[in-house]
Amino acid sequence: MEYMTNSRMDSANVERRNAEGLTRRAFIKSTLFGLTATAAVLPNALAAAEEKEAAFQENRARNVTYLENSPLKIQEGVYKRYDSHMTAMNVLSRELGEPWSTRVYANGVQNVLNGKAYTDGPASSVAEARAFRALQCGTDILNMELTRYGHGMENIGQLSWRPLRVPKGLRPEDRPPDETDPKTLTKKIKTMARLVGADLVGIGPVNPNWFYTRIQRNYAAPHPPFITKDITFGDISTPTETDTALIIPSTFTRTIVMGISLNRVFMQTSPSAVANSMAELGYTRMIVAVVGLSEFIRALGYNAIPSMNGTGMSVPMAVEAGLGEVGRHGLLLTPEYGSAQRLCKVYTDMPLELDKPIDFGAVEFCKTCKKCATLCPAKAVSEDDERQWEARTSSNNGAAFKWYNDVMKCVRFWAYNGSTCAVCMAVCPFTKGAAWSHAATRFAIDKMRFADPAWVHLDDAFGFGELRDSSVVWDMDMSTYAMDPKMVRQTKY
Amino acid sequence: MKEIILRLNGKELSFWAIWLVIVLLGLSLVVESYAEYEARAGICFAVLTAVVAVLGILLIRRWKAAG
Ligand code: SF4
Ligand code: SF4
Repeated sequence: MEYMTNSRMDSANVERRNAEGLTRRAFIKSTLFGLTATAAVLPNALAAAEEKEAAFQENRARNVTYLENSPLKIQEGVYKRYDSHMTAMNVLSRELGEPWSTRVYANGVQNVLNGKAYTDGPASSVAEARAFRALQCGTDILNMELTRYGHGMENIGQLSWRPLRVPKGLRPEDRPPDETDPKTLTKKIKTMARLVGADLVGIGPVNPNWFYTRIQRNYAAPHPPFITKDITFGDISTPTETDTALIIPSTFTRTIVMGISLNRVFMQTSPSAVANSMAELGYTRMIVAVVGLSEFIRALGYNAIPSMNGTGMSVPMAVEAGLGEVGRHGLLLTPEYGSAQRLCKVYTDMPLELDKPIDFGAVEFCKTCKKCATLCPAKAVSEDDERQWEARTSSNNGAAFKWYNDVMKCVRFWAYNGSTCAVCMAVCPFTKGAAWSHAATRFAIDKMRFADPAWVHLDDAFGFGELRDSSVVWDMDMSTYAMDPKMVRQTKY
Repeated sequence: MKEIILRLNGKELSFWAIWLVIVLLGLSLVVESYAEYEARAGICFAVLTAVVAVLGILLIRRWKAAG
């Protein structure tokens, strides 16, 4: 048997290559060309595939544009701080003559008895409908018992503006801070925020524009007397409450905003009790986040005010803390979770480095998209092409440049539906899983804005954001708190 | 395999490299879509991948036939 020696093999190969007209150089060149061309066709695909392991900030730096100034515009001299007595829930309660949630609960129970997942959506049986409603009972209980979404609960119970269990000797009034370097403190704050369950954390200024003028202690009271307190800022050293006001020290210059992600598949069962259970879980997790982070800050010798939905509007604060942009539906859109997160915040006098607001093409995309407006069951979301300055209802706060939604239509639908709704969150093309294709699409949305209409049509054609039957949740893969492990980004600050 | 590759010229190699990467990306999209409970998207990606795969093969056969 004759074996081909290396040299004979080489010369045979060279001969063959010559015959085919392919030199080694041509081979390498063509391969490189092929790979480069592929990389040019899908520039972000491979980078996006690595995103799951990539550090959060590095990921953002690749996929967003950082802005030097706040993108939020208000009409100076016309804009007024919002009166939380006018929130849609408060107004609806006065309209109904009972707390809005009482009506929602009553209709929710009626839905169970009728074997429905929500008023217009059947369940397979009464037992199944009851199980859906039971999910809601289990997820909202701690929130309802302890914090009630933070509405009117400022400086009460767990949301106290003073230390709760920080031992004497470590409290701000006992010992000045041992660490004062903003960079070091920022790193510690963001680490703690993640530890207590924040999926997103950003640091913005304390901007009085986004604070309520007053809060209502008996939130959602249908009849007077309405027990209100003004929110003011004063030259004091610690947060203080008087008979008439809640006073935030003017030394408070930082707002730490945290995002609690919501499972996308749960949200896509909207407007059912199952989707609502995910929102309620978000509030329950929020308690751990705001109370835990506040106590951490106090133990380091600084003051902190924990806040859920109370004290002020979380969405603009989150924008200025660099978490995302405001969408057509009035909710925050983030590159990580789209519309599927809830927001909470902690105000502090701790010196912290500010995060920059971001632009990832979301507002531009909303101008074309309108999916939330089209699919909103209450037709509450604006279909205007451009953002406006004028309020649409007395529950809106005008003179800010944004899309104004008919929030009264929205909450009236909730009352009718027997459950809150999140269709606008669920159908939003930014509310996606962790597949690299979505990251690549987000990249394209940001870098090739002229192609937005094409992405909207493709999103529809591919069936993304279609609402699901509530029973899907019993069979889906699920991790702790129903978080999508692939969506939970690593953080390094 | 090696023989097949060596018999290809530079243009063909580039073409096959792109074809292979696109088909693999398409298949990964199918798998990801199903993993994310996006069945319709999975079907769409599967059809698109199959179309690209077949078109690629037809194209290279035409080239071959044309010499
Ligand atoms: S929550 Fe539901 S009713 Fe309200 S705006 Fe969104 S889609 Fe419309
Ligand atoms: S559904 Fe479309 S229009 Fe609505 S918030 Fe999301 S991207 Fe914007």
